[in-house]
Amino acid sequence: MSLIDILAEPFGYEFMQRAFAITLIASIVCAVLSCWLVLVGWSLMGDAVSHAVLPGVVIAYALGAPFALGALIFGGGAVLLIGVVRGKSEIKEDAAIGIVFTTLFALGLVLISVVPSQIDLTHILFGNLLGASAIDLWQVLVVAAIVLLTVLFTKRDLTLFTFDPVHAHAIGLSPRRLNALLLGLLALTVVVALQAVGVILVVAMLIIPGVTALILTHRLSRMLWVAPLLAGCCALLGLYISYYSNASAGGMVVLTQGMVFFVVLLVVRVRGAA
Amino acid sequence: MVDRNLTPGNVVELSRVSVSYGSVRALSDASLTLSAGRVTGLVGVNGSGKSTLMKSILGLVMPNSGEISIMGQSVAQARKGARIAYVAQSEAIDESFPISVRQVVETGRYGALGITRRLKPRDHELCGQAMSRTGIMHLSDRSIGELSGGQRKRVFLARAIAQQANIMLLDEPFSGVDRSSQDSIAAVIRSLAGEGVCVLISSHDIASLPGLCDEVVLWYQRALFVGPPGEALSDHNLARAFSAGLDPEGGES
Repeated sequence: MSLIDILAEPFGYEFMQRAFAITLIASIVCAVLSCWLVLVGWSLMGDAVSHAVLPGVVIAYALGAPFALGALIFGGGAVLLIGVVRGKSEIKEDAAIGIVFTTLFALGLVLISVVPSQIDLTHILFGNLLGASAIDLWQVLVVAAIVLLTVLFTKRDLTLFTFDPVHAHAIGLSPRRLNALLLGLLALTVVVALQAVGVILVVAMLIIPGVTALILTHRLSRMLWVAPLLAGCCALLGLYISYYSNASAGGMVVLTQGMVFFVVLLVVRVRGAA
Repeated sequence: MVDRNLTPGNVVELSRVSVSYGSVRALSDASLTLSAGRVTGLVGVNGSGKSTLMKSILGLVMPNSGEISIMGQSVAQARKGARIAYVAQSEAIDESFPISVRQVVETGRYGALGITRRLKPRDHELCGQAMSRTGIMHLSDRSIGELSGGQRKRVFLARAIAQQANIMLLDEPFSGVDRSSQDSIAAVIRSLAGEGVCVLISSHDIASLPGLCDEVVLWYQRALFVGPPGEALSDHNLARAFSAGLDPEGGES
């Protein structure tokens, strides 16, 4: 079997074509956003939002609505709720995040157990890459396009907001609106990644590419290319390995990202020490 | 050098402004007028409300009462026109942020640009001029984390210049700054005032003020004294400002 055959074989199956498309798109969108998230210190916000969307996904399935819609409503709701819990009291942000996302996640678990449906919890928790339908792919495509287009127009504002919100305010921009924009993009991105790797591992795709790019380059403007490029390669590599080793697809993609991170860290450290 | 649509006379006017954070009073019935083309030094102890004064002019803090007018406009309108530039204290900036000197200076232009903030040739030219003026052109491709405290201050001053602001608020511009950077920063500030910019400088470093400022304001929740640097920095007046915080009437123990 030649290398070409090895690379081409998975594409003989329609479900693998969809799996490759979804993983690639999700990885790239997550990687782009991760550049700002790791700099603004919102790594765990991604974890919170991804867990919080569970009830939304369950309700959407039960009603026969697009899962992206349910996820988006609850993702956005979680972000607002975190703001309310934090703003109106002396509760610190990490506690507010912890309370809101676990409560919503628990609500999702309860709903799954009482709402009669065909939902398989493990699919939501760990993704259902190989079982993705054409409709799932379309949802991912549309949401990813919205995120990437928005980023294309607002990337300089997002960078300024992350770097120096006071200056952004002084020149007439609204840091509050940019804050909301970044959170909104985060909620949308989680929806994209949900299908690929599931609730639990979304946070990995929202942190690892950004951090890996950060230790490779010292410009946010370059990170925005390096992170998606790395994440895209990891997605392809991870899926091929998972196909031929019959291992968890989402798990292998994240594992690949994690391995690349540690290799990069090691190389940078060794070169720094030399 | 640069047309700033010079407005003669008063560009910042506070009248009877009060600001409280919960039960802590930061500004109390404060009135102050700042003029175009003048450098004003703001001197006061820690907790005297110097930063709150600047934040109020920037619209970061909303007064509980009183009014602030900037060039005859509201603070919000002045912000929209990018009239006010703010150079924060060093601690307020994430020094490890992966951004170059040039990119920082370029953010000074954002207020005047379209939605994607793409710089036009004219904007690049203004950024280049601003960097030359503060003597950081040779550092333009460095990360801000690689700079000394004084170099970093000059970067943010260059950004304020690129912004073409009419009003510049400099919070402790000389703290953590070496002597030669201090001198060059002071020289740039003087030349900006010569072009009609209104500059407000808060400083602990009283020694740096006499040559630099046209006027010194001694501050504790409000202006205790306004006048020429020589008089303001007399022992008597300084003692008033620095003991104000101990005064039971001052509201803070």
